[in-house]
Amino acid sequence: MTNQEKITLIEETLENDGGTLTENTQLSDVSEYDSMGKLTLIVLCDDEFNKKLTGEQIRNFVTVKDVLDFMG
Amino acid sequence: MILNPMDLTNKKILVVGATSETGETITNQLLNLGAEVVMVDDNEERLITIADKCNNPRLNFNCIDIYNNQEIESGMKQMAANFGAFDGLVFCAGKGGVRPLQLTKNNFLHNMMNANLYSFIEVVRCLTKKGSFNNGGSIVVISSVSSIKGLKSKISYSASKAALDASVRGMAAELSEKKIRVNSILKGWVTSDMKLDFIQDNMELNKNEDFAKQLLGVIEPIEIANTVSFLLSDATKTITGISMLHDGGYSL
Amino acid sequence: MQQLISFQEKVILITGASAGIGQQTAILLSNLGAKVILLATNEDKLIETLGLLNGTGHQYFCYDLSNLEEIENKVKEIVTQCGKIDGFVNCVGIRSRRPLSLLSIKEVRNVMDINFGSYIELVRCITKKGNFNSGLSIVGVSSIAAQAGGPGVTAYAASKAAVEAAVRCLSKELAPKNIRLNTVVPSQINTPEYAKLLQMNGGVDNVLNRQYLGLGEPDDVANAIAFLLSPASKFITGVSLPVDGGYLSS
Repeated sequence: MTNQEKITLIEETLENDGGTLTENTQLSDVSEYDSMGKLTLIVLCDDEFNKKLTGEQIRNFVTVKDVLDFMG
Repeated sequence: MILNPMDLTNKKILVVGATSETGETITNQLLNLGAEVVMVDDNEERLITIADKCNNPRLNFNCIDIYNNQEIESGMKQMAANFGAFDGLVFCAGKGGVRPLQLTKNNFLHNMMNANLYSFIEVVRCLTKKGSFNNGGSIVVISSVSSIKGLKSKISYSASKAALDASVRGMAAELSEKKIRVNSILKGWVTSDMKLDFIQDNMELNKNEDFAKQLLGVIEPIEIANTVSFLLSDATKTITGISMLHDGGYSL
Repeated sequence: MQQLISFQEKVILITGASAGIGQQTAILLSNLGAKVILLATNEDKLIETLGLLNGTGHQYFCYDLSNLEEIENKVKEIVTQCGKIDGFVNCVGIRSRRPLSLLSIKEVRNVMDINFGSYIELVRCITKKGNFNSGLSIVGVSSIAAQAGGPGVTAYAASKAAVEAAVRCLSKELAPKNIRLNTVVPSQINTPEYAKLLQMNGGVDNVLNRQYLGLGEPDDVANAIAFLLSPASKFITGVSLPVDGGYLSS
């Protein structure tokens, strides 16, 4: 999956409008990235990428790029 | 002479899901109260470890994949053949899990229902056939306070537990003919829950407010074991079809 | 003068709309000004129901809800053709009566998939961004069986209880999107389904003894559904409202 495809997936899952996120977007600026959003991301990483995302790791994510890097 | 209303001497109890921390604690307590216990679960290694630790002639076990419906019928027949008719069943197997609505596809729902409901129904259906379960016996299943209280992202889990409790009421009505009682325990947060599934582990969603709601603090597995023993014993001969809260005040 | 309950220009989707409670609800909502979207499996019955509605702008869609995979596409199609959804009433469901000894898991799963699985999938799809309007109200139809134990209804009771529990969770989860969910909990209601059941039992129904207001009418349930759909009930969410002639409390 390309980075753009991953970004689109994140946007869809968090129910953002398409085209709002870039690699450099600060997660703290994304209103849908609340505690529900974080949980959704954890499930998504498990479902789609088979990767277990821990609370600690998620706390260290600052930008969208950090998430993409994790997804691998 | 000291009377113990929870005495389980001469009672043969099947514990399904015995290898979890709560399951093991229940097994031990039932043995302490004089029962003969047969453990069932899908983890043979753990079953052997527990049996060795207990070192009790009243304890036996059998390895069955309880989440595989096809195996249950033959498994239960085997139990009755090997050990004779049972006086009690404790069903403490099941799965937990959190998932927000948008990612709750039918597959996830089905797996949750299968682990928490279908397996239970199938076990009871097979075990209460003639010759496998004595009249006057007692069935106890571990449910959850989620059955009656809504939490975000717990749709599948809550639904499966509510369905479980509804089936308990149905079974209680049907099995009353044979004087078999069926009840569930609505447990709140137990210390062993903390070690569950990584998603629950990391969930900041409901956690802190949730624990605070449990006014009397987190529950120890031995307390659940005691409530189970209470419902299995003759002390509760006329209690049936109930979902007994054991939640430290959570649902107040 | 303002009416307490009115659905002028509101788009309301109703499943199980071609008979019983679903049909009566569709008629009532059409009388109250709604644009009604009927969903059911039988086209003839759908056309018949369409003919009973008042007002214009109503539509029907044929779909078998036991097919869970295609629900997402169906909802997209409905929204594209009819507009964003303001209300959703789920009246689809199958009855099941089997003694425990003959209750196969296959049967339990079938009942669960239709009564509960399709409801969750529909809610999941309808509440996706762009498919609904703010203020969306969702009403499911449960049953007294969810609370009251009886022989032979284990699978049915379990499926209805699952819906009620899901509603408690969903109402909390979806509140930030200004969506409400509730269920109505009817006891015995005078529908063709009930008539069949009564006939099978030789005309005897002991449930009616406890249901001291007598046999209910589809109207009674439709009225409660309309209330829960309307802004008049905007502070009510996550509840299971008995419409049961006194059954559960007696």
